[in-house]
Amino acid sequence: MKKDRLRRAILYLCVFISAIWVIHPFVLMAFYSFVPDKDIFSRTLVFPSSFTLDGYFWVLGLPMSPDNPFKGTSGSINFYKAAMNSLIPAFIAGIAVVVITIFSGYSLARYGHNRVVRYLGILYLAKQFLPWVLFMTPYYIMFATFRLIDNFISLIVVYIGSNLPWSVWMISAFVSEIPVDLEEAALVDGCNTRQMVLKILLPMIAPGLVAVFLFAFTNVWNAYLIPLILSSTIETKPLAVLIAELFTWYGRTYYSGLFALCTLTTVPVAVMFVYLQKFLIRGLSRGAVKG
Amino acid sequence: MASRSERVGIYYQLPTFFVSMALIIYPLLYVIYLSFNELNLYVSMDTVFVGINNYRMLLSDEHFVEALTNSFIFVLGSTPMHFLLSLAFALIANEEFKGRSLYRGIMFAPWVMPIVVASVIWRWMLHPDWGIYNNIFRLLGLLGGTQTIGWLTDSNLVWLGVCYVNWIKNYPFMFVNILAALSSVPVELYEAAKIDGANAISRFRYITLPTIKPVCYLMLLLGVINTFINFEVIWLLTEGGPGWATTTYGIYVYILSFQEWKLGYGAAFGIVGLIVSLIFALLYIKYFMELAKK
Repeated sequence: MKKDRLRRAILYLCVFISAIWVIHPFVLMAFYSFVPDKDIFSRTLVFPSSFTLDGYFWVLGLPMSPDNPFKGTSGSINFYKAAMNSLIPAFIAGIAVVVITIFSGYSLARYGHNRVVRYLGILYLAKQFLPWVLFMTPYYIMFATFRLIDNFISLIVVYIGSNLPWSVWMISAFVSEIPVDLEEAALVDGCNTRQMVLKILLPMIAPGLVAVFLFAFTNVWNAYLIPLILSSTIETKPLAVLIAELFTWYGRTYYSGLFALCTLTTVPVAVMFVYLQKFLIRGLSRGAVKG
Repeated sequence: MASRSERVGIYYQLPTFFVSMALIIYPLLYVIYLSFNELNLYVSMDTVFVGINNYRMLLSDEHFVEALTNSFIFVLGSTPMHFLLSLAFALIANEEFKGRSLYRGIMFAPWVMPIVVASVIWRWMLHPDWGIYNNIFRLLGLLGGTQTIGWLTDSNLVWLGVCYVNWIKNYPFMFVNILAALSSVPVELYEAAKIDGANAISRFRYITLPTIKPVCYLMLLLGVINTFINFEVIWLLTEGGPGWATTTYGIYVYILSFQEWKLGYGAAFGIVGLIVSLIFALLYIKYFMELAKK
């Protein structure tokens, strides 16, 4: 029994250390978003002398404390517009990916024995291995021809395309876990196809749909390379690109403000994720290996 | 009857198929075409055919081999560690303990943090002057009061810095998949082995490992490919610097195409990297299909 207790202690120690290691960037980011810059620019590790909300006020464009050198630029980063630029494409692309992949995912699960369907499935899988950066040139030229640079349409289209392949396999994995007999039984019992889909199939793969939506939403929210190429002004520029520019362009970085912005950018996806992580983790692991 | 329903299956593929054609197949063909051409957007949108000139230029480009070598350094520095971390974390997360589902959530969290945000945080944490890592080293006395370590700016250390950030940011996908594989190992096997007197190490070696081996192969292949073609981590941390020290395949394609605007030449280099990653991709697909059949 003593050996067992030692084992438990080691386990908890491992749990603790690994969790701290993984989460320390999050914690420090959130913590230092409340710390004034003078305590961040320090060569010694000291507990901050004071805490301030100035960073958040700077991002949100609210009046900051009078002695803050950055008070003049409060609100100049267009946070609200950039946040909408992140949110709208993520939401639309997420929904679109779910709707499209219900069909292909179902077909891949149920008709996977068909040669055409199977090869299409492999084709989607291959996207995973294509260097994404290589595709930016054709996208840029393609959308420049249609005058769609700096336009939500081009961004959303590319987001949908980049999220489809994996999502198809994720949905297909969820569908293939539902016995075909169930669908057939429903049809025998007098359901028509539409009723069968709406009342039996969709509710049963709902966790899969949630997972696919979340996966696509998070990918779009976090996307950097695609908007870097396809959006050029604040009309479509999302938070990710805004943050990267702030860090490179400002002569002296306003760390508190930048951390506040980073925290505000991470919070929506993090909150969603906490509630829905089970679906996502289940979905991700199914797409990868089970098929 | 059967053929009619088979056709339905193909119809259902059409939306994804068309989107993939427009956004994957067409661009791919276009890049191949572009790699035999020159395109200067400042002059016109028309391409000028130059044959294999772009590829010939690559051979005399000193950064061509350097970028590919750097990519392999990045892979060697990242993927084995990703695998070890994922395996260790998955083994922990597969044990029974209080707060296990919270632990699983936390260990998956780096995936959620936008790469841009991660890069900002890490560039601060690894900053030579006021980065918290150096501050902690100073506090522990490992570093003198005025000494600095440029984790991301010293060309001798930059790979350590970049790979370290990549370890913590990009392991979760592997972790989730190995965890899923671990939880599919039948518990009865462990109990039987325990009764037979097998210790923890031999239980791992003879029960756990064989079961999760296929998934591990898949994950290693996927990890190699994903690291090889990765652009964002290094771009946001060092922009390929200092000098050309961390200019990998993805970075060099980006620099050629969108900073020097040599779109044709960038495409040619892109194709070379594509071929390298396709070799790994074929292996992956082979394994994947074998697993899917089971």
